[in-house]
Amino acid sequence: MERTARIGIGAAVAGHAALLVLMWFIVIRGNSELALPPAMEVSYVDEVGPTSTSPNPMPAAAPPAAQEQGPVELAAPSPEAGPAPAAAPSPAAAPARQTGGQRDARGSGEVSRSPGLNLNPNSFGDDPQRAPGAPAANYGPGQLRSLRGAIGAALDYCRRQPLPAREAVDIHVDYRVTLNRDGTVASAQLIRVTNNDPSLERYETRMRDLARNVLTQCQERVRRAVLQYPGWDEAPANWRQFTYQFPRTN
Amino acid sequence: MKALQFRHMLLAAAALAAAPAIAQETQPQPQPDEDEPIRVGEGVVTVQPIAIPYMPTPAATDTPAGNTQALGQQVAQIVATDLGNSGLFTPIGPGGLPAVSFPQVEAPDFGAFSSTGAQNLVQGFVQANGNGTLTVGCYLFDVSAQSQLARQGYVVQPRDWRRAAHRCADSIYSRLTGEGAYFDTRIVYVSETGPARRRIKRLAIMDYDGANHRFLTNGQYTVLTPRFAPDQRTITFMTYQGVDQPRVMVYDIEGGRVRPLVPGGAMTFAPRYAPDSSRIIFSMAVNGNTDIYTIPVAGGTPTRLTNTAGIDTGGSYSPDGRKIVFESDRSGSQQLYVMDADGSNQRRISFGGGGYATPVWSPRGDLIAYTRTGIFQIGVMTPAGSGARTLTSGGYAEGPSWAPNGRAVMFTRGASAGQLWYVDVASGAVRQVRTPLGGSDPAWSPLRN
Repeated sequence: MERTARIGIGAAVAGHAALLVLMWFIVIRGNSELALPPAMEVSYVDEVGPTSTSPNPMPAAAPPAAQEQGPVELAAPSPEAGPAPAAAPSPAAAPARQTGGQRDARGSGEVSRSPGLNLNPNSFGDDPQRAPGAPAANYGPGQLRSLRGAIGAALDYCRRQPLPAREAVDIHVDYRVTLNRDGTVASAQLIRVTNNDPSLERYETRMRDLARNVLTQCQERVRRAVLQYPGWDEAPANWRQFTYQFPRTN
Repeated sequence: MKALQFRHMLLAAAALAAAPAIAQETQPQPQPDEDEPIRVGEGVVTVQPIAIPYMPTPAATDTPAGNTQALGQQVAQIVATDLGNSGLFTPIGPGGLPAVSFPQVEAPDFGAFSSTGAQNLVQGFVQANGNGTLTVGCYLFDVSAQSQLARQGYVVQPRDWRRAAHRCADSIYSRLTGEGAYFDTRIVYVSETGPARRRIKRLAIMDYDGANHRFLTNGQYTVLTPRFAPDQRTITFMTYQGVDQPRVMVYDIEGGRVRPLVPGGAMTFAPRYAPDSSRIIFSMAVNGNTDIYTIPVAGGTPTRLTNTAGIDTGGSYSPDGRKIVFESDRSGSQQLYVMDADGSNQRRISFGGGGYATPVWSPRGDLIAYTRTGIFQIGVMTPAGSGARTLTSGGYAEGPSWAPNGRAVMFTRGASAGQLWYVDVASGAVRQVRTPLGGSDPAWSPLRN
């Protein structure tokens, strides 16, 4: 072995050793510095859908005067809740997600309404009715995931749609939904039918029916779920839009 | 060059050491994917409750088929029975459901049906027209969505009112399952009566549900293996008429005439039509060897397709007419083989124990139905020989025949007093077709014109 090669190998060994030491240091040090939020207490309930799955449930909204479970036709988009541009939270709002005050509020089951959060209502871009400086809820990615989870749980009540054939489960239908501020469906738009098997094409029309029926039959559950979600009434427009897929891919 | 290699190694080591720190600094915070769909359930394979109330008439009128008010009730009953027979629906009604007025046919009172648990609703009407015809209106609604899914109207002669009901059921079935229709079809079969040694076997034809039954032959000679022509103009079958050995005959449905497929006294049997109705494939014994032949329906010179020792029989064309499945004992036991339509590229596709017989290619092309002769059950496999599964259980079953949509198979059950049954290939649901006497060798017609 030549001298330069020996030097190279030696350097590589030394480098790896240094790397291991560095990684060990990072891990130990990192663990000591990562301040995890306090553990959140959760409890399980028998009934899932009608109860918010949010960690800080607000008082239940007053029941609507409309029929509770009766079939409701998918309404045409209303001017108030038409498909608004999916305005992502602005950078001004983003730091608010990281505040310790909100983590505490989440853990304590209360909604932080501290004006110190200094959320700019205009940054959400969809709520001209909200006065500047009005109290704001937490609209971070975790909360959005939680809201979507609540909607998913509500929709899942209607998952047992009768397939035309067992193999039709390989056809997946995506609908894009926009909700009104009152939680009712403003619009539902078929956006995608995924089918990789041409021999299953004959089932596609029926699968579109069934995917739509998931929302039609469970829209009242969705309405109740979102109305119970903290901050729903002031949520950004993009929070009132979601896509669901039936049946789900495994 | 060596110095360059050394520098590269040092740089690589440094990069390795720095990598975790860089990653920690630049790794983005997880963001919710707003386009990620909420994934909902997986659906279920189950029978669907469907409400079918009696069908009103705008004006009760007497017709050769009966009063339109009574016909409305009978049409609804037939639609309910057809859908129930498919094994995919649980009909609710017609009895016990709220009465539907004529104006409500197009504007249902959904609230009245939502409590039945039905996801879908079938409504319709029967109306007598001034020219002596009947109009049967047929509507399908989604109860929860309160929307109309399909609507059809059928103008028929009074004698065809049952066909209008079947067509209504067909439209509902196709819309809700995605499958082709099959209720407006007929069955030709062998009607059997009398003791085993002096059994009288007559050719008979009926609607798929057993209605409108009539005999085509009088029982003076034995008939076997009738087959419908795809164009529904002729029926071919095997008979012992006037000779001691079987012969394939062709029956003209309209004219009622019968003629031999192949002139002369050769023993011919196991006929079946090509998909375009132009030819018939059959078996013929020549010099003690049985092979498969094909011949134009109008007559001509038979063309031999197989030429091996042993019995080759039971030929059945693929829907595109390019392949043929048949049975042969050339290997020592009855097995299934596939070949090109000209007899080339013969290859075995069944390898199970016992025997395989009476293969029939599905109109959809995806499956081949057959009789397992060892256990006498009906099974299906792909044309490649994979995915073999048994559709029936218990009892003696043989002689499969496909429904025109390729989803149901009719067969004979019972070795002595035969009965006709059919099975839904997907769900396994079985139903009996009532016949006045015993029955065997059913052949399902194409969808009627």
